[in-house]
Amino acid sequence: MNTTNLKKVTLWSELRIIWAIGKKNLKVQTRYRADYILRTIIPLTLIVWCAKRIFNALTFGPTEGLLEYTGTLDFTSFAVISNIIMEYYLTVIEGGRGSIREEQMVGTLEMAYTCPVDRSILIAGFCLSNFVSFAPSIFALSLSVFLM
Amino acid sequence: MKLVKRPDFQALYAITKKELLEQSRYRQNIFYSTISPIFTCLGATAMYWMFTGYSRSSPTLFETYTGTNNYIGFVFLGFLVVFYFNHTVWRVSYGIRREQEIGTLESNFLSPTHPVLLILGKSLAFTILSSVSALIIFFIGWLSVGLYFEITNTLFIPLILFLVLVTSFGFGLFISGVIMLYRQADAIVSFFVFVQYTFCGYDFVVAAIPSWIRNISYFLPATWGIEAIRGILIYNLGTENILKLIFILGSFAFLYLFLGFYFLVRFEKIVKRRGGLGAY
Repeated sequence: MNTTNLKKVTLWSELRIIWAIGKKNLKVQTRYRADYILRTIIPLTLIVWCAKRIFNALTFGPTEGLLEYTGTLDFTSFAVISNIIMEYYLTVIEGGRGSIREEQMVGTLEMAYTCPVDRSILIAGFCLSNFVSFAPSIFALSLSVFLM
Repeated sequence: MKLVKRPDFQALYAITKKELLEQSRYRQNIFYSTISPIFTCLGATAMYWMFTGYSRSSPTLFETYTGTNNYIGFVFLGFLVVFYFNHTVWRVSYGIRREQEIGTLESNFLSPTHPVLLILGKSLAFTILSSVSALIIFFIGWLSVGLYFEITNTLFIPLILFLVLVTSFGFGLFISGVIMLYRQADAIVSFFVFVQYTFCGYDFVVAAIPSWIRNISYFLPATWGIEAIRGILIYNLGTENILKLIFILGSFAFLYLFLGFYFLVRFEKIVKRRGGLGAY
């Protein structure tokens, strides 16, 4: 029996595991089309969240207090950029949390944990697969903000 | 024939109890989900302090728009309403999705209890949890950032909260139908929840936003609930003005309930016809 693949752990083999998890998750996500389109292609949630920051800026106006704290009177750019960075971070965290809970709910977590793969690689796969799925839309939004 | 029978109440009680029991088994989850909403209010308060500068006296446009400098009360009261609405909607949708995932939705829908009771039971359970959370938010707000408001005409407050809950229940019915139809509807629910958070003006003044986009706010029930609560506890509005706001909120409650029920029944029919009720 050829067990070479189970014995030899290389960076390449670990990257292939992450790739496989990412591919599998993407396949699952794209099966729920309405959800995938709303979340990924048109990240409406992120757009409306950024709009809220603009409304905050309009409510308070450019104040001396803001200048004292941030060195700028432009609260919109200050807040929207922070929001986008936070969204990158949350996407990774949410990928790990959501995937593990989902595997648990459908009863496949035990099997995933008992396969000959380091758990940290599995979790990295869960986190990165979500990041890869949603990064293009977040990147597009970030780019549009910088071009504005 | 009676519209509501005694077994219906018993079923409602059983569903609510089961949901609360299930929630209470995940102690850390219930602890964090009850406590964490306070950070939204504290974040908004910190933002206001940032605008007022180190001395916290730098004038902002907020005072011009509202005629008060009680932004902390403004935010906490606004958040209370939108939180009741969104928390209930979000948790009900999650509850329905979970039933679908673990495969109990089909058996529940085939039982002689009406699906609306199933959703109402879940809503009641999460309303109880939201109320506990709201009390904690106000207590921590009072302790940490000096939350205050004038309690003058409190008679209308339970009525306003009740109407907000009726509206959220109506919306919950609609979302439950959507989940049955599309199954994975997280992004759809998130979108509606965030639209409500964004446009209802819980941490900003609706009058400050451009008029073409302001109209979205006027179509959201939370906007009117927030206005009514603030009208009583911050602006000291007269009874006539408060009744006007309550009338608008009541109309929304009726409309949402009607549309929610209509769409639930319609979506349920579609799903049953396709045979996808038990599908994961």
